[in-house]
Amino acid sequence: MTYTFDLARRVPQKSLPLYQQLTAAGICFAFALGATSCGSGKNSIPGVPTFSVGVVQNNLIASFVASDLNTTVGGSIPIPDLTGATVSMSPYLPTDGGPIKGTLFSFDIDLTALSSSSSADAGLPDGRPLPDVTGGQLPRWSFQIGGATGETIYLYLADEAFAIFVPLPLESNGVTLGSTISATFTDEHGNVVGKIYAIPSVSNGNSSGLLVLLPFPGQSGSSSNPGTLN
Amino acid sequence: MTKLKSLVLGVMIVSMATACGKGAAGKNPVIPGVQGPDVTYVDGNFMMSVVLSQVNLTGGGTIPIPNMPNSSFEISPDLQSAGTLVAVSLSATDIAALTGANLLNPTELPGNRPLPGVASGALPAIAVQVPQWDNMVFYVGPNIFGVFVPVTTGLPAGYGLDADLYNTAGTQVGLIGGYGPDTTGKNAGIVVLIPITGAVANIVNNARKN
Repeated sequence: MTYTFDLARRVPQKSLPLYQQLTAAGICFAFALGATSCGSGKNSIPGVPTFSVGVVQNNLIASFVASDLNTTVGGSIPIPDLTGATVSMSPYLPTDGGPIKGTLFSFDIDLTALSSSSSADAGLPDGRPLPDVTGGQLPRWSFQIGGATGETIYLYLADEAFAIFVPLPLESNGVTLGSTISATFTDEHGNVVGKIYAIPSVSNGNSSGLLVLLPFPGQSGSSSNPGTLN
Repeated sequence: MTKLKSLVLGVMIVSMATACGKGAAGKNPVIPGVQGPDVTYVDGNFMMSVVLSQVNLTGGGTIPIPNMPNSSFEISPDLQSAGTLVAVSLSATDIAALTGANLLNPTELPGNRPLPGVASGALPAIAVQVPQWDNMVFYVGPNIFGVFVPVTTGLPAGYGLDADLYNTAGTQVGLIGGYGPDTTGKNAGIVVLIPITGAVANIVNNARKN
C-alpha cells in the first residue's frame, strides 16, 4: 500500500503490493507532516508540499516535490553500486488535478539488491547523529547527482531500518526552517511505521535536508514499536 | 518491425539536451529521426502521432486497446516522409470511464522503473501486446493518462531524459521522456504522460457528463 500525501492535508491515494520483507512494517505510507505533528495541519516543510513512499514490484519508490523549483527538463541516472537503482528529477505531473508546477525528485531502489550489499555505519553527512536511531548511525551509501560538483544523496540500510537523506535548502518565500520538524507515519491501523524529518542547517547552510526513516520491525521490534525508532 | 525496434534514436539525448539549453518554452524537444509527438484533441479523441522517419514499413495496421473500445493505435507507412507513422487515439469517453473505475493494476514503466513526474511512480495501466513488438503500455490514472512506446532510444541502460510536452498550440500539456534499456537490456522507449488538468480536465469532465 502506498499513500501520496500533501503536507497540508492527508490524501491516501491507492493500494499497492508490499515487498514481502517489509509487509509487517507497512512501510508504504503517506502523511501530512503538519497534521500529524501538531494536529492543526498548518505546519509544513517550506517548499516541499508533497512526499510519497511506496513499494511497487519489489522496488522502493521515494519521491518528493519541490514546488518552488520549476524545470522544463529532467532525467534519471543509475545509482552507482546499487543494481537497478535510479535517481531522477523531472517536471512534476500532479495526480490530483492541480496545475503542472514544481519538480519531482524520485529514488527507485531495488530492495533485493540493496539488502545484499554492505557499507560502513555513519550518521548525517555533517556528523550529527541520525535522529531516533540507537547510536545515531546506520550503514550508509552515498552517490552524487550531476558529477563531482553535484548534490550528494545518502542512503542508509540496516536489518532494522532504511533511510534516505536528501540535502535540500528548506526555505520558501523567505521562510527558512529553524529547527527540526518531524512526524510519524502510520498505517491504516494506526501503527507507527516511520518518520520524516526536515533537518535545518547548522551554520553554513549546507546541511539542511529531508530524512525519511523507515524501520523494519522484523528483527527487534513490533508493529507498535517498530525497528529502531525510539 | 524489427527495424522499428532497432531504430537508433541515439542522438536523442543530445537533441534533448540541446533543447534544454535553448529553454524554448512552448516547444517540444527536437528528436532527430522523429517528427513529433504532436498532441491534439479532435472530435472527442486525444490524438498523439509520431513519425519515425528512419523506419520504413511496407505494411501496418490499426490495433484496438483492451477496455477502451473507442480508442486505438495505428502503425502505418507515412506517405509524406517514407517513414513510419505511429498514431494513438485515446477517446475522452474511454478515459473518463476508466479513470473512475480504478480496476487496473498500478504499473510502472516496463522494467519496473518509476513513471517520470508521477509521485507514486506508478499508475493503473493497460498493456497492449503487439505481434513482433514489445508491449505498448497505456496508463490511465484518476487524473493522468499516457502511453509508453517501445523503441530503441540509444540512451545507456538506466538513463532517461524528460522534458515538458507541448501541444500543437504551444501549451504545456504534460511530459515526454526517453529511456534506455533496463538492467536486462530491454524495455527502452518513449513515454508520454498527460495530466488531466486545465483544458484537458475540461474535455474529460465533459465526456464524463455525456
